[in-house]
Amino acid sequence: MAAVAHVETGSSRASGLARLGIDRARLVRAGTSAAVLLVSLGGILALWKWGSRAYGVPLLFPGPAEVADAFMDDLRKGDITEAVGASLARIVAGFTIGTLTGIVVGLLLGSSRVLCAMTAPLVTFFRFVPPLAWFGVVLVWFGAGESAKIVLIVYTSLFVVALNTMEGVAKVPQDMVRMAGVAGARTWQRLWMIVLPSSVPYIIAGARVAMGNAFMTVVSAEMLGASAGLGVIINNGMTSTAVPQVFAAILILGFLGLGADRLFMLLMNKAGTRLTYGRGEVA
Amino acid sequence: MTSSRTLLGLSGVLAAVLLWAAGAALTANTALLPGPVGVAGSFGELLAQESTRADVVGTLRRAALGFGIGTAGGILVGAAIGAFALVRRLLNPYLNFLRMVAPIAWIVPATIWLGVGEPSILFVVVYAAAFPVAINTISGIASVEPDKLRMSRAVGSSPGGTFFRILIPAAVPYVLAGARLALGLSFMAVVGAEMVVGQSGLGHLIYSARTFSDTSTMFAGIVLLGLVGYLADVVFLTVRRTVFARYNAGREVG
Repeated sequence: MAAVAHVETGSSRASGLARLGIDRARLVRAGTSAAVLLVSLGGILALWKWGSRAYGVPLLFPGPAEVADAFMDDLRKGDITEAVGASLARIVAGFTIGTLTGIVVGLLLGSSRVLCAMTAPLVTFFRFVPPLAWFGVVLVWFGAGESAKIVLIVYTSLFVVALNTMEGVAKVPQDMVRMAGVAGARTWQRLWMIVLPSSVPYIIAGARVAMGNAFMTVVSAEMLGASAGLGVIINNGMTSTAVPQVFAAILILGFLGLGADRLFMLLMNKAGTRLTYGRGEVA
Repeated sequence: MTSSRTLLGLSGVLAAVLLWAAGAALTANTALLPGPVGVAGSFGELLAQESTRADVVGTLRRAALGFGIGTAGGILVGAAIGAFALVRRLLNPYLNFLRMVAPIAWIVPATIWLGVGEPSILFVVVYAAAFPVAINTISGIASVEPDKLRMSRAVGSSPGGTFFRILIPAAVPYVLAGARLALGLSFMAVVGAEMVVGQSGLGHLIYSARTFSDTSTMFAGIVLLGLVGYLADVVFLTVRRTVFARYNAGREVG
């Protein structure tokens, strides 16, 4: 409120900002939250430094400075770029295949009551089998290379997306589908023009969860055996006590994940406003 | 309707098993794809072994303990963030950051801080369980309409009364939906941790079957894991239906 009053008194400056398409109140709010973030970040860094000094062994519990050093070191050597590239390539490949398959499966099962009832017990069962449980089997089937890890990520993304798509299909307003039928739309046209667009918010919500799962799975899979990746850095830290590198890898994981998640929030809001029929929920 | 659904479900399972058997017969290589009969045999062998029972109990104990501690922590942090604007400002960015770090990545720091073995596995499970509960608790508190809070204050309710009579009942369905997600993630985390550092448990069982390329036992382990996870979910849903019935849990969300 105070910010609004401010805009009115300094109207000439405010109109200048407005001409640039910047809302003054929003600018003030962004400034405050940036300040709060900076202060709390300083507090956390101080706490971290104090904790590592209290522990006394910088090799085992490195402070922020040591971690930053390790990060810059690895960045110069190219280790980090290689690891991030390897992990991200696996995530993108597995996530894309898994999500697309999940959408198709979800649309199929969602629009046929018979298929849905037939597969319900199977879906329920496999939902409770964690992706890593397939690790051994996948190694036997696909070998120790890239495809084994990608298959695990496909598995972990597919179910969430399929279940959310089914939920979205169930919520499609039936009158719209009937009306399209009356207007002469064929089955596939109804699926493509009505059912799919109105399930999009749900699909994106499912894909967001799937992305989180993909990040989780790729790290564990890489820890159990890979040539490069963030999981490999973490696993090396366990055997060779390269702990600062592990902390750097954890920070990178957080930033990458946060970036991916923000992207989905943006998509979700876009889809929510454009495709109107309700925001998606996480099933 | 219900009986026809069950019938369709059964026929679906039957079709899947037949397809599996046909695939196994076609590959004719039990190291690659053991058939349903072979896996059933391995499953029986697993159940007969004394050590399997210890593995199941160990995995369940880790999952349950980690789930319990993680859920309690998630509720506390989520309630603090949801109810106090200052805490939200301070902690929300870090909650979102830490939530995206894979739990298993913490195994190295956890081992350094808490020691090798059991405590570090438990840490990973607690970490996995806490975030969905915290996030859902925040949404639950945010879902309370401001008018309800105003009305509660207008009729003279104390802040404590408002908290227990308005905020808690509104948040419970969300918290339970988050807890259900957390239960699944706990199992995921337990299995991962047991495979990476564990000496026992179902994850270790499956992983060690790999070193002997005993594919049949791997499948039996997968089936066992699926059953254990499914039963845990059934127990959770039963508790939700009976203990939390008065909060309408499970009707609106998840």
